[in-house]
Amino acid sequence: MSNGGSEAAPSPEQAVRVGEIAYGRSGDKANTFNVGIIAESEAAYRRLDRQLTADRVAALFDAFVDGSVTRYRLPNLLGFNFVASEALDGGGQFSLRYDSQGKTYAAAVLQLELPPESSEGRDE
Amino acid sequence: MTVRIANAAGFWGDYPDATERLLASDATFEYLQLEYLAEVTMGVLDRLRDRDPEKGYATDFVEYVVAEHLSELIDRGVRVVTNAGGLNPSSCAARVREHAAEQNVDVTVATVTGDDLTDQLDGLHAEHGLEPFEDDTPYEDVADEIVTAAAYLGAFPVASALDTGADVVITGRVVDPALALGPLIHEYGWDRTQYDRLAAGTVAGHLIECGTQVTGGNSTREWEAIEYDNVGYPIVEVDADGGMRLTKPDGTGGEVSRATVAQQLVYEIGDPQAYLTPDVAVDFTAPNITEVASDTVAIMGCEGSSPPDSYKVSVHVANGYRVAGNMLYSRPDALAKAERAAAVIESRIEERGLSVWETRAEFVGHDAAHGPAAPDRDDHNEVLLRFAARGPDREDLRRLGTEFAPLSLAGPPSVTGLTDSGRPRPRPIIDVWPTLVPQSVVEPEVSVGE
Repeated sequence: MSNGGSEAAPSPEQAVRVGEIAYGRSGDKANTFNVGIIAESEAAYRRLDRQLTADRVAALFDAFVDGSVTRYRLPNLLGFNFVASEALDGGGQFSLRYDSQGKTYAAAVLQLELPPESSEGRDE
Repeated sequence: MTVRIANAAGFWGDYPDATERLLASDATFEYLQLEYLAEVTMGVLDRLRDRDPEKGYATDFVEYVVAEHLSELIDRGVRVVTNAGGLNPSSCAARVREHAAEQNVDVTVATVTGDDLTDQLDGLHAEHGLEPFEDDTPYEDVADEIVTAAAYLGAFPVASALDTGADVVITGRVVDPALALGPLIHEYGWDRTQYDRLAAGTVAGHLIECGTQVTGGNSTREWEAIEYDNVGYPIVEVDADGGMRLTKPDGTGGEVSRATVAQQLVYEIGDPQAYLTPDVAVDFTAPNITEVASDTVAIMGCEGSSPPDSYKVSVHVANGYRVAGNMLYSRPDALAKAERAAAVIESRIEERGLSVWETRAEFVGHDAAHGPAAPDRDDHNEVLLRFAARGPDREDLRRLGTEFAPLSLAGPPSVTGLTDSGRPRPRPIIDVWPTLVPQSVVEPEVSVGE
């Protein structure tokens, strides 16, 4: 069994919210946070691979991240792991943020809207 | 043969009745593991040990697991593995032995120590040159403010502790998955180069170490459909060849699915192809996750390779103080009112000459979680101003804590929220300075008592 794989994915010609085709979880290690995102289907994984780039996630968290955002693929899981360094205002006890551990940040990625693919250049 | 390991604590603060719930279910398991030590918890434990040298361990374990259930656990042949020892495993073990005597049960308690490097750090730095793991703050900048330093030990000392016949194993700082891998090494006799097996045990431990977060809690996938009453604590069944199934007791809430397991697999990891412990480098891109029965997921095909030749060390460093206070503003124009109030606090800090490094105003209901990544809006029913500051001087931050309440008479209108708590008080910041030390300088130690 796999979940959601049979659901019709939104057409690449439509905008889609990441949370419509994926789910995820975030957390911290010292001053680093990570967001794991799991696609609902292989089609969704391929679309996220093309559109949910490290640059796009870095732009979303521009106000929060002093370091950089790195994206890793987990193809067996249809997943991605985004790791943001120097990103929690010092982290743990030092941070002045209410969400000092980035626990809600996966939700911010899931709320991100990806534009129709045709509206974006295909550089890769 | 399979080995079943249940988890009954994902952090210090988890449900105190988790063990009771597991024991009341019809699930069977040979090991119960409890994880209490988040990074921030070590700083808390240090403050507790400062006040009382007998403290510095996770008291929830003694209070809610040992005091209430030790004799039943022993009667049922369940062996307990926990990092509740924190900064003081021997004191934690002594409390367990006292309870065993009171309950008139024969219990062997072992401790795993050797993680505490606090007194050796200066020498280690002189010899090996400790480098910062995360940023570029040099050792010299933190050396004078170190409160405690702990190496993350691996699973082999945990296995050695079980080899002695111990019923209860209490560790200090170990990598969280060691609480599951240790029992598996003990049961199956896996050796140090069976990397795929060690990887499987590490994945098993990683999946259950946060308790109900793998059984439906905090899942962002179709959360509306999840039953949050009595979410079942996880049980992982691991075979000798490293295959495993993750499940939860029948009749409990929550969900075990590909989605809940996948989310926990990626939780708090870095490079998924290099999840590093002192025992093994695990490739988290290798395993396949399959739903095999109702609330049962199989995880197969784990792969690992040789571990790094160093231990990660968390150095905990005193670094000033922090204070945070709240005021609730109602409609109309709740956000504008809260913003004006924050501006008043800022100017009062200036006028009074309070020493702060940094301040932060967040508007709960507007931007506290996601900052500018959340959409802008101006029609809030209410907004909670949360104003936080950090600085070098406890007295100045205590003074800053007196700046909130007067705003209820002297600031923007339709404000409330003074009755929940008094003046916010500053708390010391215990920061983390992660570093690496050569494997050869750490000597894990197992002690067994009555």
